[in-house]
Amino acid sequence: MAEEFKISKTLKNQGWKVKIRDKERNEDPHVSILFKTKTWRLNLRDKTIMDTSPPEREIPKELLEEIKKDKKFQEIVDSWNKMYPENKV
Amino acid sequence: MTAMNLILYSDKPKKKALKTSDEFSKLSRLELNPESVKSFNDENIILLFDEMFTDKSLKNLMSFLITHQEELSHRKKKASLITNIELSKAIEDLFHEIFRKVADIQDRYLHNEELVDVLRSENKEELAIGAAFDKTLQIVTLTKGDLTKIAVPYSFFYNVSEKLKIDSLELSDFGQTIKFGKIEISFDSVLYEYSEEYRKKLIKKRRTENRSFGACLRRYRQLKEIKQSDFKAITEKEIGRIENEKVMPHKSTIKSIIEELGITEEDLLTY
Repeated sequence: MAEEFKISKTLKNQGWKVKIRDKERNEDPHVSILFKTKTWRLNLRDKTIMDTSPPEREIPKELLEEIKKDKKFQEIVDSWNKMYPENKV
Repeated sequence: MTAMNLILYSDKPKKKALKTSDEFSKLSRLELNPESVKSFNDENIILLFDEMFTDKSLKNLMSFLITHQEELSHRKKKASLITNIELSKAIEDLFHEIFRKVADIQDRYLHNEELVDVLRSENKEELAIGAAFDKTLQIVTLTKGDLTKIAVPYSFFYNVSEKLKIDSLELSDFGQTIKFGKIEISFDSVLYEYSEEYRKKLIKKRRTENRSFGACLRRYRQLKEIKQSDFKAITEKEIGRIENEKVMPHKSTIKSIIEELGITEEDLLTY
């Protein structure tokens, strides 16, 4: 089952989504940040954005801060490890 | 694909169309007059969605297309069509004569609001706008935003979960996600498996985006026109293996390389 992570109402209403789907592209463990037709992947091993396009600067800083906060980040890591036990963080 | 303009066929007054779809209501409309034949060029995509016109209006359109079919089919640069109406073989054949590409997305398709954004996006070829099923052969055909199609066997989806129901397929996240109830599959994972063109594009992108030591070394070397065989302390073969990330260089190897290049490691990693 896909996991969509709770983010601030403001960001959600703008159209931002943060999720791990049941089948993602075969890459390093990551969480997908979606906004309309664009996606960025945040590497769960080093907290860096894996894509240079679209530009990282298009992601609101507050969204990245929210995702990278200890408790939220651990929640995301735990979800990934549960969904992809063969490719754990 | 060069088409950028979306033209809607609709006989609904704009105010009424607004209730159906805000995005659709803003689109320019296809008029049925001899001048309109010019609209059927490769800069345009005609949208034919059953909720946007009446039966009488559809007959008027077909009459127009039949009247002008020769002129339209002989055009060198033709418009494309996206439609959710059920096409008989006869109509399908006519459409394929008149239009460059025909995207029949009657089974499943993106919500109108998302569809317009996808058709206008720069990465439309990496987004799904519609799906069609063949239950006998167990194949799903997904239409991409550039109106090309990709066929995917049911087994691809069943490998994710045996329990999912193909009939429950929906497209969401502006064509980035294929949903089966609570199960979600990224469309790019489909492209990665079934599109060689996509994989090649990804490799090319990775090579320019790859910030590993090996990738940066390769880019720096190529920029400075240094050959792999120019290194005194490291063999050509070893340089190749490092650049292709077949091996992780030891610290002493990295030191040798950057000393020969006369550059710091930090600087090298900016290339």
